Amino acid sequence: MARVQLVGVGKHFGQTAAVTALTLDVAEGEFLTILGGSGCGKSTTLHLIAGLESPSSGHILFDHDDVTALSPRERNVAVVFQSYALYPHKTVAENLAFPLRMSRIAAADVRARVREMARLLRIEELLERKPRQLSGGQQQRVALGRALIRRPRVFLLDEPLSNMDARLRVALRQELKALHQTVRTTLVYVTHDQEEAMVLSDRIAVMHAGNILQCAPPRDIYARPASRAVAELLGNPPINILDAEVNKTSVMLPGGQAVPVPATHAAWLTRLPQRFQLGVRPEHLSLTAASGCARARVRHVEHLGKETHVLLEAESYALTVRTDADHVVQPGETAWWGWDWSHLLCFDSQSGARLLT
Amino acid sequence: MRQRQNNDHPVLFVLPALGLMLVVAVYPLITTFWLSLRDEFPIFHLSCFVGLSHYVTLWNDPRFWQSLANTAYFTAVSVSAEVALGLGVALLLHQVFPARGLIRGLVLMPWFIPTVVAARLWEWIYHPHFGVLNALLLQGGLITTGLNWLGQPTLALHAAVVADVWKTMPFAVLLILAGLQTVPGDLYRAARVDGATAAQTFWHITLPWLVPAVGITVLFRTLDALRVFDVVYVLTGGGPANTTETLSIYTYRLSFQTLEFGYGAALAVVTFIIILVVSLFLQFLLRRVSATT
Amino acid sequence: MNRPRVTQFFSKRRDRVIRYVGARLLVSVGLLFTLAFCLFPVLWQVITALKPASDLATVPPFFPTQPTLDHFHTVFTQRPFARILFNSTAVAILTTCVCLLAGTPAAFAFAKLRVPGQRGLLTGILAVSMFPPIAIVGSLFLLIRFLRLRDTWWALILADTTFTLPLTIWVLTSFFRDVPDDLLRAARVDGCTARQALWHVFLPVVTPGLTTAALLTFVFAWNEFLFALTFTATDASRTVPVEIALFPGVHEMPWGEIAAAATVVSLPLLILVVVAQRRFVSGLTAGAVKG
Repeated sequence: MARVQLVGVGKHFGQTAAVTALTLDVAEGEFLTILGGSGCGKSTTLHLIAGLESPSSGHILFDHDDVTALSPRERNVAVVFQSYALYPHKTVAENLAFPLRMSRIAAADVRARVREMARLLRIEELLERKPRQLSGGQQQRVALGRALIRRPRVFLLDEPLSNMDARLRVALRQELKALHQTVRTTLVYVTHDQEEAMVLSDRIAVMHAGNILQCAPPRDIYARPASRAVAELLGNPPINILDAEVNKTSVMLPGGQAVPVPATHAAWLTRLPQRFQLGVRPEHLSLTAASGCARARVRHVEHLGKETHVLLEAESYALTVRTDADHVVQPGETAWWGWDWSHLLCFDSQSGARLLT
Repeated sequence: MRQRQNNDHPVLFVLPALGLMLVVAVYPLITTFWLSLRDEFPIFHLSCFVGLSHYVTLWNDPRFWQSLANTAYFTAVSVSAEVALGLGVALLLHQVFPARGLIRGLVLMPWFIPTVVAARLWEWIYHPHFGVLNALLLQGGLITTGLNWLGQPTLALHAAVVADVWKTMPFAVLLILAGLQTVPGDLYRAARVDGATAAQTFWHITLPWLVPAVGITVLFRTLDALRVFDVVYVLTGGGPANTTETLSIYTYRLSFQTLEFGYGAALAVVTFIIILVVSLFLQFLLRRVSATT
Repeated sequence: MNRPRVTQFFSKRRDRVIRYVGARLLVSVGLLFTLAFCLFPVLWQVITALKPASDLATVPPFFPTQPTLDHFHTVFTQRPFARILFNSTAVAILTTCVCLLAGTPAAFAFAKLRVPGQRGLLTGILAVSMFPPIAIVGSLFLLIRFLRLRDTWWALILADTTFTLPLTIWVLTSFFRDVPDDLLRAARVDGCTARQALWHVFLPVVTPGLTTAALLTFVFAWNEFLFALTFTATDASRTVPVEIALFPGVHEMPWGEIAAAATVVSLPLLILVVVAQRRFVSGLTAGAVKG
C-alpha cells in the first residue's frame, strides 16, 4: 500500500479544464472518498491517479516516488469501474488471471492465486462462467478480485455501486468496508452518493467544478463544512439556507422577522458582517407549540415512516424541518418553529466560506 | 472518449491502411489528373504535354453531353424507382408474418448476385426472339410482335434502368427497413390514442421518421448510379447508337478501345468532379433536412 | 340509427375484422409480388440452364421438356471454368485478408486512440470509396503494367482494396466505437499496451464486426467487374464476372451455357445470403444509419 499525493495537478481537455491545481494527500491504508456531482472532475481525478490520463500540470507521487510519467501497470494500481468492465469473452477465472498473465507470472502461480482470490471473495463456483451469466453483486466481486489479485499499491473504485438497487447497494457497501478492513490497501473511492461517502470513508474530499473544496473526516465535513457548497452537498434533506442580517441585538430573517440573539452567541453581533447567509439543517429545526423563532404556514408534509419532513413556507423564505413521525401537522396549518443555536452555520454571502468557528 | 498513452503509437496502427490507400487510390487519382493534361499513347510510346486542351475538346464534344444526359436520366429514374419500391417493400417486410427472416433473405437475393450475372439474366429475359418477356407479353396479347428491348434507342435505356433497379432495390429495402425498426413503439401508441387513421399515422409519423434513412439511401444510390458501368456495359455495351452510353462507359471506351488515354483521363476527372459536387450537395441537403425534422 | 345495441356491437366488430383481413390480404399480395419480382429472373435462369438446347429457341414451353445437365457439363469442359472459379475465390479471400489485416488496427486506432489528424484522415478514406472506379482504372492499369502484375491475382487484390478497405474500416470503426471505453481502461490497468489490448480484449469482442466486414469484402471482390475486365488477360487470373460477360459465342450466344454458368456462380452466394442474412443486414445498416 502506498501514500498517494497529488501536488498542483491540473488537467484540461482542449479548452475545458477538468481539474485545477489539485492538492491531495491520501495516507497509507486510508479509505478516502471523492464526493461530488456529475461533471465535478472526480472521475478525471481517479484516472489521473491511475495513470489512465496524464496531468497537464503538477505531479503525482506514490510514497515519494514521482509516478507522473508511469503507465498504470508500472504504478501497480488497480481500478474497479462503474460498469465493472469485465472481459465479456473470458470466463471469470480468465478475467482474474488476465492481469497476472500480462505480468508474465508463471502459469502455476497464476492458477494458485486465482483460486486464493476466488476463495477470499466466495466466487469459487463461478470460475467457469462468463460475465453475462452473473448477477450484479457477483460481477462486482469478480471486478474486485481482478483488481486485488495483483496486490496493488493503490486501489481505485469509480462509483461501483451506482448501478445497483438500494438494498443490494447497502449489502455490497458493507462487504466493501469489510474487505478494506481485511486488505488494508490505500483506497480511493469516487461517488456522488453522500450516504455512501459518510458510511465508508476515513476522509471525504468534496469536489466541485474541478476543485477540492474540503478534505476531512465525514463528521467534520458534516458539522463543520468549509463552505456553503460543501454544506449543501451533504445531508438529506439538504441544509436550509437563509439570507440574514445582523440588526443590533437580533438576527433578521428575510421578510423582517427578528430573532433575538442569546447571550451565548453575543459574538455574532460583533463578528458577523451586516449581511450573511444562515445555514441550518432540518434536524436542527423543530416545531414548537408556541413562541419559537417565527411562524410559518405548513405547505407540505412527507411521512417517511421513521421521521416526518415538514415544508414550511413564510412570505419570504421556506424551511424544511425534520421531526419525529408522531408529530402530526396538517398542510395549511400555521406552526411555530425554532432552531438550535449551537448548530447554526454562517456563510459569507459572496464567497460562501464559513464564518466564525 | 479516445484515450492516449505515451507508448500507444497510434500512427503505427493506421500506417498500413494509409500506405495502401496512398498507393492504390491517391497515387492513381493524381496520375489521372496528370494524364489528363497530356496526350498519352503508350502503344506508340508517345507522350507530350497539352495543357487543358482535352477539357476544351470535351466541352465541345456532343458525345460527352449525350453520355452526361444518359447518366443523369439513368440516375434520376433509377434512384426514384429504387427508393419508391424500396419504401414499399420495407413497409411490407416490417409487418409480422411467418418465415419473415427467410423471406427477407430471399428479397435480398438480387443484391448478392454479381452485377454481371444480373445483366446476363436480364439480357436473356429481354432477348427479342427467345426472351421470356416478349413471350409473356405476346401470350397476354399486350403486344403483337416482339420488341427489341435492348436494340431500340428509347427502350434500351429504360430496360437498363429496370435491370439496375431489380439489382439494387434490396439495398434500399435494407436501409429503410433499418430506419423503420428504430421508430419507437410509443409514437404509434400515442397516435392510436389520439385517434389517427393508418394513412395519417403513415404520413405524419412514419414518413418523417424515415427521412434520414431515405436520405442516406438516395445519397448512396445516386453516387452509385452516376458511376454505373457493369450492368449497362454488359447489357448493351453502350449502344444502340450510344443511347445507353454512360460517363463511365464512354471513359472506358476512350481509354481502352480507342486508347486515347489522355482524353479518357480528362473525362474521368470531369466525372470525378461531377460526382464530388453532387455528393457534397446531397450531404449538405441531408444535413439541412435532418436538422429540421 | 336505432338498431338494438347488440347488432351495433357485432357490426363494429365485423368492420374491424374486415379491415384486419383486408390488411393481411394486402400484405400477402404485396409480398407475393415482391418475391415474384425478386426471384423470377433467378429462377428463370435456373430453368433455362436445365433446358435442353432444343427448348431454348422457343418460348413457350416455359418448363424444360426434359431437364438436362448438358449445359453445366459444357461449361466446365469447354472452358476451364473450374480454374476461373478458383481465381475468383482466391482473389476474394486474399482481398479479404489484406483488408482485415490493414483495416482492423486502423479502425481500432480511429475508434479508441487519438490519431493526429483523425477526422481528416477518416473523411479522406471514406471519400475514396466514393470515387468513380473509372477515374483510377486507367492509371492503375499503367501502374500494374509497370509493376509487371498484369494478369496476376495481385493486380486485382490491389485494385479491389481501393474500395473494400474504406468499407472495412468504416464497418469496423463503428463496431469498435460500440465497445465501452472502460474495457480499454481495464486492459491498460491490467498491463496491456494498446496493441495488446486490441489483440487480447477487443478482437474477440468485435468478432461479429469482423465477420460482417469479411463478408462484405468477399462479396465485393467476387462481383467486381471493371478492374477484372481491365487487368486480366488470360485464364491465369480471369475471374468469374469477366468470364460470364465475355462468354465465348461465335455466331449465336450459348444461352444455355451462360445460364448454367450464372447458376453455378450464384449458388454459393445464395446459400450465403440465406444463412448469413442477419449479419449482412446488421453490418450494412450499422455503418449506414450511424454514419
